[in-house]
Amino acid sequence: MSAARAKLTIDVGPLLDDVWTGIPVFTRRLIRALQMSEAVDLDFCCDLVRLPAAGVETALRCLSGAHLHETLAGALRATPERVDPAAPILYPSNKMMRTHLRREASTVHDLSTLVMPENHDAGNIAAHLDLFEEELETDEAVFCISQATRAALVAALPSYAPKTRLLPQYVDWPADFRALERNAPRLKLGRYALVVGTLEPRKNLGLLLRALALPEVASTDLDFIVVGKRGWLVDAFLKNLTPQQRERVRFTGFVTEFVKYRLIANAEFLVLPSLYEGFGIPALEAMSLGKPVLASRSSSFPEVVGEGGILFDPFSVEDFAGRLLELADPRRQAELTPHARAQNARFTPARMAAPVVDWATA
Amino acid sequence: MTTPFESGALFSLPARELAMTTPPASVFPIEALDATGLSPVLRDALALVASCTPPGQPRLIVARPEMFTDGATLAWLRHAIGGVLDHVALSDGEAVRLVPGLRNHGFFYGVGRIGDLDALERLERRAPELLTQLHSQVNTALGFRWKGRRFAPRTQAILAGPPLSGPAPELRALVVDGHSPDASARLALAAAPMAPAGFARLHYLRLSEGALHEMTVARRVTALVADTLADSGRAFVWVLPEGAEDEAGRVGALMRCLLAGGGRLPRGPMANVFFTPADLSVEALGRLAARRALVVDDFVNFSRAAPGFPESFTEVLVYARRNRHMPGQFRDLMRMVYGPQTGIEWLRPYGSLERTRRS
Repeated sequence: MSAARAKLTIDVGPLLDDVWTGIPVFTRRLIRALQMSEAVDLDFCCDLVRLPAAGVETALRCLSGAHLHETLAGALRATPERVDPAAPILYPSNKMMRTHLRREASTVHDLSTLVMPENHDAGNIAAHLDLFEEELETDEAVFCISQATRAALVAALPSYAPKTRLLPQYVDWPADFRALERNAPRLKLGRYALVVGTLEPRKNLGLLLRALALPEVASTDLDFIVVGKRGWLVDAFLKNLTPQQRERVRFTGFVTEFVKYRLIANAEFLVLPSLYEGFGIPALEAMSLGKPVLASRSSSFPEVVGEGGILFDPFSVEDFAGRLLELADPRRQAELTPHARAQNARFTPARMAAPVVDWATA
Repeated sequence: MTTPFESGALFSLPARELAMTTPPASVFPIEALDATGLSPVLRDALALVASCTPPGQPRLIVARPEMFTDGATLAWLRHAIGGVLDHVALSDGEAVRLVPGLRNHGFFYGVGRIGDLDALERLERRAPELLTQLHSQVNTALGFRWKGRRFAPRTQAILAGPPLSGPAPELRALVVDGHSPDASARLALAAAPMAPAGFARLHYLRLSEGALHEMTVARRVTALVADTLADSGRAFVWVLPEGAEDEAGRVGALMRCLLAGGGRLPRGPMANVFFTPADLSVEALGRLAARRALVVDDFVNFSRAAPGFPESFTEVLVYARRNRHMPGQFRDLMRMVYGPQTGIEWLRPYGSLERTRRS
């Protein structure tokens, strides 16, 4: 008989979002990676109320938090069962509450509310930062989703450096997407580069528009498709687009994971002009499908993109345009494709699970 | 002229202000900055710190320091800035972005404005350790609390910037029109400039916008004005605060402070209480009164004072509101700026005019 495995509680609060992007997707991948590791017994909670594993599993299969609301309501209707205070608890995002269990860990995705508060509303900043140092103080471990995020945290708050651990995620497309894409009618979108991400100021989409004003870019047959829900502080940007710009840059809004998969699979390459990212998962998603990435030389992009793409200065329209034209050449794309796949292969479920297992079993 | 940044310097600007410009690259020479969209206060502050690099050394601007955190990005930045070792973060208090591996200096150039000070206090509350990472602070002696300890980055006083040019400032009488600060301001600005002279004693006030919003300051100022009005041998000159964009707004700020301070003020122009949009010259001060007292607050911008200006006062008094954490460092800075006889009056924070009025 094998020895009992260590127990680990995961707060699945992020999975309550109806639509999963960003942190909910990260949370799902983390749970799956830990399940695959078979190194810990997982328990689930939301705000310290224990949730039945079956309810969480349904949400993970359906890729939506809609079912989880019902699970949580059921747990609260009954006498709420508290989490095991002796087991380590991991928050896949900020804790945003005072908990003080014996062994806690939280996850830092980026420091944008601290270093670029002008891109957030006051409520969002308060939610992230008002208890931030207290959270770090009460954490036994602080997981950072990239080395860049870890370095930014340590630069600002060096006393927490010994607690920090790297927790890089991976890409896991559903197994049937490939077959579905093969059997679906062909997309008739022409040659396009894809931009993926919630629309917000730090995504720096203005650079794309400035580049399109340059004759050498305007004269190409390459269009741009921007995928992502409308975030904050972008209304004026979208309203001021000219008809010509709307012709070359199309905004899809939020799309399902399968539509995103199709759009990446049929794109020439991915463009990420963002000024700052905690990780930049769209880069990895594109590289997993063999698509090179044109990304800002900023924050986490160099470590995520590696040799699978080209970096540019996100403030220099000339540099961006030059690299864009370089990557618009199919021969250059073909050169980079194997590097993109190899780079993606470095980010695996095992690599994501390992630091958490190390901590939980210590 | 001091040259604290011997190997040149890298400057970063508050993001809200940077958004008013179009940076040509992530790192670029200061000469390539289109500063027309920047606020005058920031333009002035940038010129001040930029003047502290020796001739021939690089003076660069980094658009977004937070882009350069580690590894390849940081290596690229190091290559782009050459031998520069100092990063001066010009901050509006909303954020202080550090560049790992460089000496980071904080310049809270607008801390005399209400919004900047509030933002800085929020930042201190949320991430106090961040502020303890500063190698020095330019022209402030702010202390921060972190884990029960007090900490203040070393103060770096930069006093000699390029002189401001422009016409000699004019004096006008303050006017009270009932309880309306804005109506009072309009009347005061509509009146003709004056050239008063020959008073026995002068109180000359240079207060920041933030100080004007403090009830404790308002009460002291109102009492000083009342004393002045009661003695025709005395004069009172108030320099308009930096901050509000137009002159009417700046005069309105004075009147709001004055009217909030309590007491009764006679309606109409005041015979011996004046305001000026900018500092008077040493010669003009001499013509005004024989004995002169300067009253300032802890966050008023002192970097542009003309040579001999502080010395032309027989007394200097500093209203200190928020520098209690590091009294010694603050006193040293004030005495360096205003002279060894400078007195400091520690004011107990009583609340802003708005907060006091609400309660």
